[in-house]
Amino acid sequence: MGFRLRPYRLVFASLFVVVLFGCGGGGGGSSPAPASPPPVMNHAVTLAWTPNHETGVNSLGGGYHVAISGQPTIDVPYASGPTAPTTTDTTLQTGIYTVTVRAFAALDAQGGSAGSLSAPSQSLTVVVP
Amino acid sequence: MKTPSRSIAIGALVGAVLTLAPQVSAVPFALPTLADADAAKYVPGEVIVKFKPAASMQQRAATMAARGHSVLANLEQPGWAQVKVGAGQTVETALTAYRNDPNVEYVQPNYIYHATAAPNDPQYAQLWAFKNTGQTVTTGTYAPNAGTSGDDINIEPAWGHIADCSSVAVAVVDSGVNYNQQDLAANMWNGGVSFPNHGYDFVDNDNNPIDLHGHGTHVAGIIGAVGNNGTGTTGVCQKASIMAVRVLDAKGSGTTATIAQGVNFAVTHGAMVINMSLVGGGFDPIFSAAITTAQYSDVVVIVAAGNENSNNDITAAYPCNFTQPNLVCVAALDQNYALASFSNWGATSVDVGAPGTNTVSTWAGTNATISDNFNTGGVLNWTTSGGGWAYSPLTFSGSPVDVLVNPGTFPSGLYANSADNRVYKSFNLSGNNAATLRFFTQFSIQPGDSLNLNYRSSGGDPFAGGVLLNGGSGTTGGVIGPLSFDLSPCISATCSVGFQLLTDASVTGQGAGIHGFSIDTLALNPTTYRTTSGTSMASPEVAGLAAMLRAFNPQYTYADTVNAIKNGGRSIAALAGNTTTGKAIDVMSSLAYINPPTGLTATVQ
Repeated sequence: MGFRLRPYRLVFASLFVVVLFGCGGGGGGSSPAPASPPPVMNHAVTLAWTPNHETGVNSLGGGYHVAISGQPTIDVPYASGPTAPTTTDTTLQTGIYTVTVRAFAALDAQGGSAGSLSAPSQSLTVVVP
Repeated sequence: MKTPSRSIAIGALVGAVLTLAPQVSAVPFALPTLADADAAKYVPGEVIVKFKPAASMQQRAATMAARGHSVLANLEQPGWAQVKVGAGQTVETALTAYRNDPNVEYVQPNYIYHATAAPNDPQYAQLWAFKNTGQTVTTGTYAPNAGTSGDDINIEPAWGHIADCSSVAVAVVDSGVNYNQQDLAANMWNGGVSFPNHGYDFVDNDNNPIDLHGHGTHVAGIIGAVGNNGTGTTGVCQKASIMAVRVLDAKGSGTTATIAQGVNFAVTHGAMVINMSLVGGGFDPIFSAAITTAQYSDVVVIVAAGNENSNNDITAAYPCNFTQPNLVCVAALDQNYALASFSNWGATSVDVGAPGTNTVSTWAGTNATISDNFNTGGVLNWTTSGGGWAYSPLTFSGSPVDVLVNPGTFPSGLYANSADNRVYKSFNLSGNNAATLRFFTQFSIQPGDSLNLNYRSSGGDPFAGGVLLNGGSGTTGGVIGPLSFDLSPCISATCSVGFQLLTDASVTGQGAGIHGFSIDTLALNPTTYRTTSGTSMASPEVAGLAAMLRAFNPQYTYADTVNAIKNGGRSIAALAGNTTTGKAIDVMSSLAYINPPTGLTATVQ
């Protein structure tokens, strides 16, 4: 038996990479390749995900935690309306980051309000040029 | 009896229960309704704030004073404060303000908790599946009938959050439902003018799915017997919407055609959960297609693993072994959370376990059995015509058995050629709604001859103007049975039932022996409950949970629901290696379960 399809699929999915070039401030036209390592630059990054279907996530006490490797966790709580926000904006320096999102709600598994947290989403690798 | 919940104990730690006592004492024994919960999920004008350890007392005071807020109480935990928000301010604006405050680590509403009172249904203490106190079920016959406290589905804390599943129609695809039962009538699906009897009957092809067996009514009560009504039992859902879909006849049997029609009806008419406490033989593509249709219509299907004490991975049982992702197959646990002795299992085919022994629930009516041993003082006491038939006390496996035989020397000797031997007896079946004839038999009847079974509701000779139930030639090769026949059309005060051996002039054979003759009757009434065991009882515990999850989370898809059932469960030793999850269902854990977010993307500017 040779290679199987399934491991390939898994590897591909977990290494979903977003690379977008041409960030702000670069100007137009061609330029010569730099002779030294590229400068560290700040880029605005917008992270977005699909709304969870739990009522508790989409009501007071619920929301999302966004974890970015090497960065403070971003809290995205429910505020108003039918769903908690499902986007957040941040600024990241040049580098490669792993991002995951967890959903949370107030209700806990004993029926109290100590809160519950989902497992992390599938991780996303973000390459900031 | 009120039962303090775990939610109260935890709530007290953070001071969230200031309004609890008056609410409970004002409504003793009452569970909060959904409307109550919606009306007051948290205290208006209050939030709970946790300051960062680095924030000084002066900074904390300044933070609150700047907003016109004041401390109502410090919550016996460093950094926590119960805060009264200023006049005219909402909890929402206060939450936003504190979230953006550098001195604040966390802020939340001051949630209101409700006592998770045990419902006041008089038989609640018998329902070990909901509250296992180690009780012995008074009417239980399965052994062991003494449980382990805590081995239950952990539903009482969940009822403090949701007990009303009536927004989610649950189809009971079964032997029908006695929709007049006192604990079910208020929780039946509203089928409008087209389905005034709350469903459909695919056995008789009419819109009256009344239960002529009892099984479906038992299943329905486990899902959604009215709770907290001071009557009988409660279901997983105290308020429910039960759609009755009759696919099994009075004997408890159905076919591919009726079951597939039943599933399709449920899907078409808005059921979001289907329970099928039934098991059949091989893979059936039409049945499978119906499950797939349910999947594409976002319907969850909960099914029983089967009661053969066998491994479904080796001997497939359907619908359990269907592999559609909207299907959950359920094994039965006993009162000590061991796998019930009868329950099937399967590491790849059975998903979860749920309580299934000594289960008290609603029943369709009163059952009775009329038995007949064919003799009085050793003499045949049925009417005969044409001779041939006789009573014979035989010995089977060392035990004496009363047998109706033809010829009289059966099992030795040969029956007569060119004969019309009839034997029959009249039974009073009046007052019943269903009757099932059962008996065991051994026969060898040559081609051209026939052994016939007839009935006649007006009494007398059932082979003169009666109705043929079954007949023909053949050889059983030993005792078979019990054979079951629906005798409901014969219900009268003078239902005669008879056997006929009709032979031609050619070869004769060994003849026939019949024993264990009985007529099981059912008289519908609205007040009967029954205690029984089976994976049929475990499946509806899970179907009720599925309905509760979808009622609590109206946006839930079938996949969300199945994930919450499987991931929210409680790992137990008896299911490890026997099921796909190794878990018994846990209602509160499933209710608190959160699916991991999906669809994460990034846009770099």
